[in-house]
Amino acid sequence: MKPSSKSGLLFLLFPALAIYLFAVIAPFVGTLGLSFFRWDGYARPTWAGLDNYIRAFKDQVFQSTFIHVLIYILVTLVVEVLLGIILAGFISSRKKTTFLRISLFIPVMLPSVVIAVLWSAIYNPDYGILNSILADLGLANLQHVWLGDPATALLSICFVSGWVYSGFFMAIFVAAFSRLPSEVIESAALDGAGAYQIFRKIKVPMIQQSTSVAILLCITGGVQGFDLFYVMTNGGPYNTTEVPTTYLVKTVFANGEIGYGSALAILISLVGLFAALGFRTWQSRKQEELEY
Amino acid sequence: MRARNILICLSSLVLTVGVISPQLSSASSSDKVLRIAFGSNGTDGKKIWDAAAAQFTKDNPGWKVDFEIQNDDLYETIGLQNLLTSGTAPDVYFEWAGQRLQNKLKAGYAADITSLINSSGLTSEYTPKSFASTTIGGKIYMVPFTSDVTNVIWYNKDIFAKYSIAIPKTWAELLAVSAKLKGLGITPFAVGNKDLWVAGNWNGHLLSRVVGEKSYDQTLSTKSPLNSPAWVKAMGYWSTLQKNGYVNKSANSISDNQGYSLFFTGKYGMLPIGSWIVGIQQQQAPKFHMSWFNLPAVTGGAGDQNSVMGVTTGYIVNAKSQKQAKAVEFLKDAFTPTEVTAWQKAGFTPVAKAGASGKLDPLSQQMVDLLQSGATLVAPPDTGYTLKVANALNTATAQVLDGFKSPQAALDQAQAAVNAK
Amino acid sequence: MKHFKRLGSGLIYLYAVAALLPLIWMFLSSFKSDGQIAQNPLGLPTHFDLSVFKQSWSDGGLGLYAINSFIVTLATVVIVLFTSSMAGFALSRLKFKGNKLITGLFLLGLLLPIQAYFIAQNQMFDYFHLKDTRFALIIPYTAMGLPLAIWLVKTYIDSLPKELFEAARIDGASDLQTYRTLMLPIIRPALINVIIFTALGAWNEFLLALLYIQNESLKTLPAGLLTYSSRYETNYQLLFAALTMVTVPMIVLYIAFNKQITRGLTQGSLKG
Repeated sequence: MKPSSKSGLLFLLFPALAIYLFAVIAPFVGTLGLSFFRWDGYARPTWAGLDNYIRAFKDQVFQSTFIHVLIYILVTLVVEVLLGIILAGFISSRKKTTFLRISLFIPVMLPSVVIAVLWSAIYNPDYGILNSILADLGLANLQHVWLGDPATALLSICFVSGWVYSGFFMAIFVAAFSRLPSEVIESAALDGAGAYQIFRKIKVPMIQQSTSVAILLCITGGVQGFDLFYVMTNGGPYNTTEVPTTYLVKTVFANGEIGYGSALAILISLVGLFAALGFRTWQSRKQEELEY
Repeated sequence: MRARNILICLSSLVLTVGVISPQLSSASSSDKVLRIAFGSNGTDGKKIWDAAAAQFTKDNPGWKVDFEIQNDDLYETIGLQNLLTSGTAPDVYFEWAGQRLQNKLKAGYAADITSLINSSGLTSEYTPKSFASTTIGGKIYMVPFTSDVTNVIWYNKDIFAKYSIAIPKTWAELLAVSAKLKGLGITPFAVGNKDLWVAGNWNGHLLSRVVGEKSYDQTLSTKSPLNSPAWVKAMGYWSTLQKNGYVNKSANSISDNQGYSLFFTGKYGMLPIGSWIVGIQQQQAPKFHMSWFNLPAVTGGAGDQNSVMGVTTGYIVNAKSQKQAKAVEFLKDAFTPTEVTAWQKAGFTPVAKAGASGKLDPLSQQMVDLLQSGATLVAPPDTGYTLKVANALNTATAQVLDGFKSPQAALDQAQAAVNAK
Repeated sequence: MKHFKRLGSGLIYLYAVAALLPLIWMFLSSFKSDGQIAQNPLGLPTHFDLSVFKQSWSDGGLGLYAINSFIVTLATVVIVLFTSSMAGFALSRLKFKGNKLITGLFLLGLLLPIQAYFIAQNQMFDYFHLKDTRFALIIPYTAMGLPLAIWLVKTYIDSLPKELFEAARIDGASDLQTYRTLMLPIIRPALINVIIFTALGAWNEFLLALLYIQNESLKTLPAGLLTYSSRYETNYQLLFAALTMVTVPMIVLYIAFNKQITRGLTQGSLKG
């Protein structure tokens, strides 16, 4: 229906629009603009044209951040989404699930700093309990400098992320499973299908939409990942756990290269957007195929 | 309905008050508040600052002194910058002499206080030579606070005595000592290098000894490449530490504080760090016995083999401040002979003159003597030069320390990072 | 068949307990001295001294950080609630030129990552002297929470029958009146979800909290915890006490409201 008055409409829309334009849209345009300049934050900016972008393409550390993020996304897809589905499968066929659901979901609620500090303590090579437990079990040769050894650092952080979010995805899938029509499942059981078969051949395909959303969340969340990486290793040791956002923060706030950082920021956003849109397109195309 | 309305009103009231009140207390720059910013000086240091503030407010009724104390690493990077550009910028702030002071001057944040320090009587608290490192182009821009030795080798006296280990006088002897310790099951060095500067400073000093101070200065000022053959060869000295496993494996993943803790457990032989460890040891491990020796001589090295790595710290008056005279007056109150004695007691090595009863504890006094011994002063990479170069070199140091890259590869990468425009 | 089920049951309980172990360890370690933690990490504490919690609350400044987080989160949630419900209503029910454009603009916010704007945002806040004030966080948190909040409200209102609003209009109510008297009570379920998402986001946000506020007395919990952890990083007992103190209330809150929270989070994510 048409608005009852122009001023009323303005009043309803203006506050949200004003804040949003000021704090998100304007800075977005600003970052885009800054990416074409060289600026240290103090002196006057100088025009750089496409130099920052060219430098970004030659920047090996920057390129490595995307590789690290790709590994991160793949690992979290397996640990968070796959494990989440399996856990949800077990839980949804059960009656008394409160303890399980709550205990596995708790880490999702906690601030990432708490998680990062706690796990840094667990991974501490000299005092942490991980190495202590290994020693007690007689597996001292498996001890590592978890966050300091390039071979283990990235995976150690991925594992922590999995510990936090497998409960989140489990909850999503439990909700999805609970909404499945029971008649289909019951008739399959009557036909003699076992629990595992029902799970694999019926339940999982039927929650395909939720699975897609979960994968999408993993991808976008992964590209933007920051908190755990910053607190646990800050991209170290020597850039081997550097992810796009930690490198971005270093470039802008430690090195004072605002123009270059802006170019990096735009590139990171584009990668994230393309990844999300690309996945969506691939997924809807697959769905079309299924429907034939 | 009613209850909800009341709840909404109450929340709005709370948040209005909560949000507005800091705004009100941190008003404009024409008020009577003097703002001082620095990274943490510990609880003892805070007491000394409070005493100075008390004196200042006594002499200046109606005035208040606000301390903005931040986390050290954040202060050095984003913290100070944020403060300087905020609406409540500090009138006085902590900095290191060298490149950082130059940067602040270039950016317009360092006031020329030459005449102010004379008229306020602050100069009487110092010797004329004290201002050498804070004078640029004949004008003084910084009131010196401490002279820090940035890196010497501290050692566990009990271990050295127990195994009759003599203080090494050359790099080769240091390696021999390390081999002996390792054979005894004691890790020779404890290093906490997560933030890259602990090992960075140690290796920086070593490099300057091998290639000479001139090459060190030229290369770090980017007038000469980091991966020159001479430098690659010099980095080879550093890699012997890694090849023989003389440094704790966790070095690159633990912070400086954690490195000190390891040393204080008594299970490590040596700790390469600066003069500030004296105050920390007195607080954290008062019964621990330690002493030090300067980085041993590198036979055939091009530098002054007695060189000392050190830096002067101090306080800059913000050129944009409207209260510069008051700022200098406050600094005068902070460095009276009585205060300086207190600083010494707290484990600092102040530049200003101490009172008659002023006596540094033996270790700190030795640090001061070392600085004033006339040996060449080598600046640490991250305070004497731009952060970009310092980070590049320190990263290479960390990579070689872990054996992750060879000296050549590490320095190549460092030079590429420096070249990137 | 039955054995499979039982084995699965046992495994999953084992998994849940193992997943809780780090938190349990953290909780128990706050009662052990540093020496005990270092030498006997897996042992049980010998006494239960509560003074360590008081110490980390007052000396460590945890109390201050918590209050700051509370104020910022409360302000953000209140502002988002009002602005998003108004905008959501207008975008859903009112036909006007630019409705599609504005809706699309807000939806863009769902896809736009924070990297795309926080650099220029940082410079802008410097210029407007907003740094080191609570507004430096409230404004961005609100702006970042608006897209999802508006979307939640809008889709909920979209699903309501048209006649509801047309009846109010016939009765002569202006849009504002309709919003206040008719709408607000009806969209309560959507508003609850808005509260949950916005509060959780604002409370746990770390990047901006770290970069925009250096003044110790204004820091929120995430940034403050970082300062705290580096100051006390060798004092494990205090560190774990602080972590425990931050964690326990959130766990209690979650257990109390777990139905709404879980439902809100999963529904919101699924529809997104």
